[in-house]
Formats: sequence, structure tokens, C-alpha cells
Amino acid sequence: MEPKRALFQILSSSLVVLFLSLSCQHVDIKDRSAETNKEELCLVGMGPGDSDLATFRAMDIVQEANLIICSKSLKERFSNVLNSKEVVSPPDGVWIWHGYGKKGSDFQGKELEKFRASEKAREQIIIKVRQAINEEKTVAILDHADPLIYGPWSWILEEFEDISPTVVPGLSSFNAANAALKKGVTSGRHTKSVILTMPDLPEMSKKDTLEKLARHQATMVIFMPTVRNTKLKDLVAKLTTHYSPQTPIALVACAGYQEKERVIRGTLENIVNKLGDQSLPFEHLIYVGDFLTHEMKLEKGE
Amino acid sequence: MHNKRKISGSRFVAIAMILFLAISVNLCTWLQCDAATKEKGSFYLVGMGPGDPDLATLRAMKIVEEADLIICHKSLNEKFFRVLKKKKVMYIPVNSWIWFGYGKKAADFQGKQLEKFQSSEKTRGQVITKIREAIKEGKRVAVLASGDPLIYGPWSWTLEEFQDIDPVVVPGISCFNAGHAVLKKDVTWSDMVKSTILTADDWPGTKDTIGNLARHQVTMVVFTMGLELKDLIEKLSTHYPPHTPVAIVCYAGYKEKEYVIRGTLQTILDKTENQKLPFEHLVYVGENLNFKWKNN
Repeated sequence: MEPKRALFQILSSSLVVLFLSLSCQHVDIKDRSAETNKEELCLVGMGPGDSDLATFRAMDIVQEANLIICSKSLKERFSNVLNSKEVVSPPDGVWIWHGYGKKGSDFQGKELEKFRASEKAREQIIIKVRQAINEEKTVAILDHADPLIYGPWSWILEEFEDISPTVVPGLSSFNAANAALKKGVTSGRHTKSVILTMPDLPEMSKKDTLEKLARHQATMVIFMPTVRNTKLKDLVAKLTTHYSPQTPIALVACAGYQEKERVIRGTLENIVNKLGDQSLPFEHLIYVGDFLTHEMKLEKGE
Repeated sequence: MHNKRKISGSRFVAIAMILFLAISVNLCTWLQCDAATKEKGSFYLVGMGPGDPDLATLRAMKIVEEADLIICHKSLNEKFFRVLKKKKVMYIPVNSWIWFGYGKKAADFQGKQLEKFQSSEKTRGQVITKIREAIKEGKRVAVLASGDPLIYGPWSWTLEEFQDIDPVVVPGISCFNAGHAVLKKDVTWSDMVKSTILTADDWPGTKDTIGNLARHQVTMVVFTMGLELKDLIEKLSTHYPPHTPVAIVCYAGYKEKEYVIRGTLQTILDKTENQKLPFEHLVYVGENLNFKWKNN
């Protein structure tokens, strides 16, 4: 009887100590969440790569939200917090942004099918969000990385303009890729700008084609470089109209994943060979520009 | 008898608690020592994000908490006071141009510029010595930068200087990411354009001038860093039509302080006439600021 009781006392007192030390550590986080105002609808950037690239603000919003809307892959990445939440995900393979604001008559054949699937998924989400808002719940729509850089969810800001949604900024895959390259992206030899762009699509205006943007020889970052089966070879051909063949280029895959992150470096001349048969994930980024090899100290004699 | 047992019981509990505390403290220090001796010393450049401290990432805060020596501008001290007060920190005065003239020689400068260069070189020298010393002792050193350390970052030179010890960069949110969150717009694409240009004042030797970049009429984000608004609007107006929307985002990322001044190239100077813009502001220009998918 007696040793049992002693053991119980030891256990309970050590639990108290443990609890105290844990709660001390979490004071910071608790204070912060108390300060945040109640938002009805929030579009939240969760960062790229590993889950530790989310911000404290984003995590606070997620913890407080009653209803979460996000892709299945994000649900998995943040399963620690999301397992205890009501989470709605659009069906796999649906392009949630596709054709927002357009009509069925704007599409044909396969595109029309895609559009209809997108419209259906969007409608379900819109109804779900409106219902939750009517019940005075808080809703958080989570997106990968920065939700407002080529983001698939930005249409919700237009759709729910009447309830003035807020946006929590997120780290872009671009910020993470800068870190992977370990170079100041705004420090070219004779340039100071960064152009964020994507491959040319036939329906877009011709003002900012890759060829025209290449003229400045500034740092260029190409998002979604394989969109609609664009080939690296064709991108390089367009870039080489103005950048010299020796211009350095880097392909950054899985930016922000500490274990998976990968950089392939070369020049416009040899990058196609260097890539060879390797296939990179859709989300990789391409960087072009002499900032990649620019060294302020070693080149001062030039 | 009953009483006695009670006393000895509580004494036992007290001893157990003390033992528990002692063991846990020892365990912590032992773990830390172990971590430090395992590595040779490491160097991190950490992006702490813009605005309020809650825009730092979990990864960035973890690195800060684990670092043995921290180097940062004085302005970051206020923001991250809660963590930094427990740390060994070397503060750099806010007005020291820590990046200025890195890799150059005194002969490249004259007059006031030379003075600035010399003071920058001196501060840099002190920072470099401090970091090398700490690395030699096997310590973890973290240089903290606001925003994204690699977008107009004053500390990017450290990556060249410490190339031999293989620095690690922890990415940070840029004020530009926070800027379009305030605007609530995806400025990168619409039916019309697909590009966004980040740029700054035209400094000597740069070929990609604001005037040249304006030709594409895409979204342009200008990191003003002291740039005169009137000059900027003049340069932009050479190619963007006068009715092109402009938004000035001040204090992006500070929940309580952030605000936007909107107008067009034609009206924005009048709208800001009697206002003093804070140092922390970005200028956005381009049709995408007004773009809507539905009413197009």
C-alpha cells in the first residue's frame, strides 16, 4: 500500500513539474493567439516544403478556425493540427481555379468537361463556406506557399468580397528557392530586378513574352516551367535570343523540403544535356541570370 | 504514527521533485553539449519575415532558439525581444550600411562615400572576426535579416564571405509577399499578363532601368528604400498609361499599422501630397491591381 502511494505521489508531482515547464514554453504562443482578431474568412499561405516553413500567424489561424478548406496534400502535411478539425477538400484532379468567372459557352470538348468539374467543386465549396459563415463560424482556406503568386485559390477573394476576407501571407516557393541557391537574387552584375514569370501561353498578351523579358538580362524566375508540356529545350531557345549562351541557369526542385531539395546548375548552353532524362516535379522553378555566379570579391579585378 | 507517515511522505515527494528537476536540467545541458560537440560550428542566414514577429516561420524561430551567437540590426531586437533577451547577441546599429562596398577597395570611393565605405568596412571587419571566433569554438552562429534575406538583403555578402563553412539560408517571407496580402490580389497573373517585376531605384551601372522595365506594362513592385515618389511616377509614366492603377502599401505585415493608398499614375501624387510615407513602403503599379475574373 505505502510504496504504491509514494509512487503515485512521485508520479503526480513530476507531472505537475512537467506541466509547469511545458506551459512556460508555450506562453509565447498563447499570448499571440489571444491578440488575433476573429476573422470570418481567411485565405492562409502555409508555405512551401516542410511544415516548419509555415508562420506562427498561419498556425494560429488554423488552430482557431472551425472549418478548414484545403487540398488533400496539405491535409496530410499538417495532419498534426488538422486531424481534430472539420476539413473539406476538393476532389482529386480538379483544377479549382479553372475558368472562374467564365461560362460553359467559353469552352469546348475536353476543356468544357474540365470546366464543369471545376464549377461543381467550386459551387460545393462556396455553399459550405456561406453556411459556415451564417452559423458565425470562422473559415480558413489553406493554400500551399504564397496564396497570391499564381495561386489556385485567389478567386475566393473575389467571390467573398462582401464579407471582406483577410489574407495571411505565406512563404513562396520562390523565397525557399532563393535560400536553396544561397545568392542575392537582386544582385546581378549589371541588374537589380527579378522577373517572376511563366511559359508563354497562346491566349496571353504578347507584351511579356519570355523573349521580350529576356532583353533586360535581369534575374528571371520561371514558375510552372512544364505547364502544358512545355519543354526545357524550347524555353532555353527563347531565353537565348537575348541572354548569352554562357548565362548561368539553375533548376530548383522541392524548394523548402530539407531532405528532398535539389538544385541542377548549368548554363543555357548545357542545361538540356545536364538534365538529360531526369524528370522534375511540376512545381520546380527555373532561375536564369548572372547573379547565380556573381561574386563581389573575386571579381573586383575584372 | 499516522502523522509521521504523512511527514515522511511529503519529504519523500520533495526529494523526488528536486531529483527530477536536477535530472531534467542535467539532461538538457548534456543534450546541448552533445549537439555542439557533434558539429564543427555552423553558420545560418535567417529570414525573419516582415511586419509583426508572428510572420517568422517555425523553422526560423527554432534556429534562433538553438543558436549560440546571434548577429542582427538593432531594429530586430525590439521585434524579437522575447527570444533575444535570453541570447548572446551582437547588435549592429540601424544606420550602419553593413553591405556597402563589400568586395571593393577604398580607391573606388571619394569624399563622403569614402567615409561611408570606411565605416562599413570597419563594422564588417568586427562582424567577420566575431563570427570566425565563434565558429572556431564550434558554435552555431545565426545572422538574422528582416524579410527575405536574399531580396535586396543587407546580409547576402555573408554567404560569399563564409563560403568555406557552407552557410545555410533559412528562407523568409518578403515584404512583397505581405504587400499583396494587404492588397488581396494575385498580382502575378490575369487574362492579360503573366509576369511580375520586382525592382528598385536605378543605381549607377544597372541596365534594367525602371523606364525600360515599364515597357511590358506588367505588375511592377518597387522596393522604394528611400526613393523619391515623384521621380518614380515620372519614370513609370513613360510607358504605363496615366490611368494605370497604383497602390502604395505601407507597413506590410504589421496587423495594426498596415495601410494602402490607392490611385492612378495621374492621381497618386495628389493623394499623397501632405503625407509623409514611412520608410517601409512598397509601390505596386499595373492593370492587374484592378483585374476581376467575373466582370471582365
